[in-house]
Amino acid sequence: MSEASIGPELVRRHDSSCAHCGLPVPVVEVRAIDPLQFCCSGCRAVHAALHECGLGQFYALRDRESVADASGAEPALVTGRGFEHLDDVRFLGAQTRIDDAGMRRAELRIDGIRCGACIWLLEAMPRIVRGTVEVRVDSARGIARIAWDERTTRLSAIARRFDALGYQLHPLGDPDAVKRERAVNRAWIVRMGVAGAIASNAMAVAFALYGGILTNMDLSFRLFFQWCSVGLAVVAVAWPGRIFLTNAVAALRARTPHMDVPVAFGLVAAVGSGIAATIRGTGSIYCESAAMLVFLLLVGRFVQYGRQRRAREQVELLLAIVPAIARKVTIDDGRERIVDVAMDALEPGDLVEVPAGEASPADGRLVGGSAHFDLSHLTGESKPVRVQCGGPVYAGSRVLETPIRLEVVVAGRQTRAAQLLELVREAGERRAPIVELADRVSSWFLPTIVVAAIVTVVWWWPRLGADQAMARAVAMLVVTCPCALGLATPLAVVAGIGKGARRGVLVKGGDVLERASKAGTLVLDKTGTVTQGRTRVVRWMGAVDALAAAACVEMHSAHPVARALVDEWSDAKGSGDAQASGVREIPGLGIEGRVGRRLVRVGSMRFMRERSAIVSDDMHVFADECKVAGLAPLFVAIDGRVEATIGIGDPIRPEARQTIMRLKRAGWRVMLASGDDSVVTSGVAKSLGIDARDAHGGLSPEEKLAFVQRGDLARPVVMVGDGVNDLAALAAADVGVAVRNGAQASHHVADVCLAARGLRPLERFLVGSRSTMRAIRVNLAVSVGYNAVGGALAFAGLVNPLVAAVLMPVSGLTVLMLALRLPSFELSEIEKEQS
Amino acid sequence: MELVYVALPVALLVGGAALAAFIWAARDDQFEDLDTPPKRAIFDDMEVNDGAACVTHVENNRKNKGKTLDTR
Repeated sequence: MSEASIGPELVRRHDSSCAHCGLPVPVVEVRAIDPLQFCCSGCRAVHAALHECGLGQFYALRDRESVADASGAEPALVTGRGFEHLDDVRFLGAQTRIDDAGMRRAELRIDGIRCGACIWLLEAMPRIVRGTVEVRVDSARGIARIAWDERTTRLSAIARRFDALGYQLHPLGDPDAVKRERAVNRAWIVRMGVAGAIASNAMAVAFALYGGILTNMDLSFRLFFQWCSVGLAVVAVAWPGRIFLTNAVAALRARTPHMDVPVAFGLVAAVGSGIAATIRGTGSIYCESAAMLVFLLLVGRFVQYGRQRRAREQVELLLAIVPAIARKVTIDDGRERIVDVAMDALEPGDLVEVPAGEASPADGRLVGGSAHFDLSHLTGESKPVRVQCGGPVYAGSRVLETPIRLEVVVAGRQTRAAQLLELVREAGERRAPIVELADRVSSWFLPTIVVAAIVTVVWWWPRLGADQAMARAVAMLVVTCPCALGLATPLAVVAGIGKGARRGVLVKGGDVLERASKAGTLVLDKTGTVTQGRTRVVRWMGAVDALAAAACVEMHSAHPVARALVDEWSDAKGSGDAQASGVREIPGLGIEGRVGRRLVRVGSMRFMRERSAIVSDDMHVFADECKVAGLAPLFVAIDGRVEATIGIGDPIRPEARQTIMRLKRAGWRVMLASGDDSVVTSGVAKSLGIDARDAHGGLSPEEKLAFVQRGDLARPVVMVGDGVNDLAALAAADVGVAVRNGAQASHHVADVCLAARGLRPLERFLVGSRSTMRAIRVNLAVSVGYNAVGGALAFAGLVNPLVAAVLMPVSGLTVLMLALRLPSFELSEIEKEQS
Repeated sequence: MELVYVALPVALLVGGAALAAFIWAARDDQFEDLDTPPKRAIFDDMEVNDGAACVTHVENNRKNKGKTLDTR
């Protein structure tokens, strides 16, 4: 997305907005004569394609649809890929099928859907693209179901057409996982529906029953209603409610406390006593309460499941759709052709091309020429690494500057990156399980109510006789059945996850919120988390026109340092229409060229010395200052004299220091663990106010893993990182936090994904965890309170089935309201405290 | 009053039939995507113009880049 990464300062200078995506149009893209402006060539191409296809109504529809949500605007992306990998026989065999009409059907992940108009556009495709029979879009999950006629078209051709409109099709990462998820969802919906139907019928029967009791209904009618009620309750507990029973049995076997144990106990007590009372013909029954309980608890669990699924799916969509595609170079009749193939279809000896800015698909040897690679995803090292012809290139390293070719040495599971992933899986499995707060509460809850029931029997037997004593004990067991307690945690977790998602904090499970709610150790990766993760000009001294001239020369290079200079000064006064000529790049040293009549050289100290440029003392002193601050000094010489010095580095985020201070005050021990050079790391730590003993540089992935597993760190250990080099540590930490745009795998492994970089979203997550946890605690207290009151009433003999049936939903409702109100991911309160 | 011996089971049976229909719908994945269908309903009445141009357009996509057509 090269167009999308234009810096915000560049975008804001012009006030017209893109006719396709509505984003501001950057100055460089403004075309004075056009009536319509576009922010990038992608949007321009899509707009033209839409109109030529007679799909111009897209815009009217979109404006009607999505005015409210301008925040989701993103420029269209047209990749121009070939998508040949979608015609691969293996892919077609594994992920597509032929339907009854002889059409091939596939389910694919689709990227680029932003609003309802996109759905219309995509589903209109069969009417304009020959051979496409049907397109159905699932916009929430980002999935398209496509049916096409193999005799007239191929999937790759369809994908190219989608691409021309700004939508990219990708194979589902794991189609079985998608199917499994769907089956689980289905089972939940069925369970909920059945439980709801039974609960409402049971309530209706109960209504007849109690109405009858008040008006002295015949015993035969009463027994009939009771049998109906019992029958319904048995079905409710045995079918949708079975999940509680099996969970309880599993928890008892594993000897770990679980919320479902007291729930199962209450259900069995209610149904058992109901059957007994109906057979004997005397006594009260609580069957409608049991049916109601099953329904309410299932609602709580279902919404929690739905939220967690949604968070997981959003993570899936966040994966930046780094396509698992390689561009393989094949030779056909002496002519070279480039074909897209799936990454795992590569074999040793294959020749692949890697376009500039993309990651290598396999471990291999560089063929022809040398190139710079960004290994930060693999090693955390932020400086580009130069690889000579024939040198090793690891899968996942990003090529800078020029497209390259490499000969595959190992592919698929044998690559270094894949082996790191294996390490990750092991680390994830070793993580110690935690017992959730609700389960800890329930572990003493069950013994308490059993003891209370026994006390009730023992106390009342001598005074009221066996029947009355037993009736009160049964009422006790039913009324204390932990309905609100069972709902307390799921509802608060749902509210917490939901509020977090709206704030760009995607939490994969409720237990994560609980683990992160206590202050412990926070291990931060340096690159991209506390720094901006991008080489930029941090400080400089000297003449501005020299800098503009330097930018002019650097315009001809794609080296990251050059880009930093161009970003900073290409618009500076004096650069105007100046053109550099005769530009020559000397790898590893610098660059030289002519601007007008001046000879401009930009490069390292060594370069200046080799070209015997004159460096003044001021410049020397400034360069030394830069080095101390962890920056690389760069000199600009005009006609043999150094006129300016620039400190280049990865600047620290502006809010980082403040945020770290706040976190430290909140009790976190903040540590820095980086794969980058130790000197740089400790320099950054110093300027952030992190103790020198807590800053660790030069760590390999294995050392990072060992680092978070150190026994002397205060738990929980929260690890924040985004590179492949952080993966194992992310998996092993109590809470792993991945940042958007990081390595794809880091999103899978982490417990939390932040949709934005930097420390503020992280702080938001920590604040939100604490506040959600507080909501859970309040909820647990309230529901225990309800049970205490209910138990006392039952002991006093004031509970009849009617009271029990009312008390249960009322307590559930209280808990629901509290859960929706309490959790908050807002930082405002803390910041107010600060100022 | 004896009617209830028949009415109640009948009511439960009718409820059971509705439940069965619901379960069938759920197993048919009709509750899987609740976001797209409401949007789909809006554009049922929208027509697509003749699309013959599109096929040729996409093929020549790269040549056409940068060319804009009528305003919206």
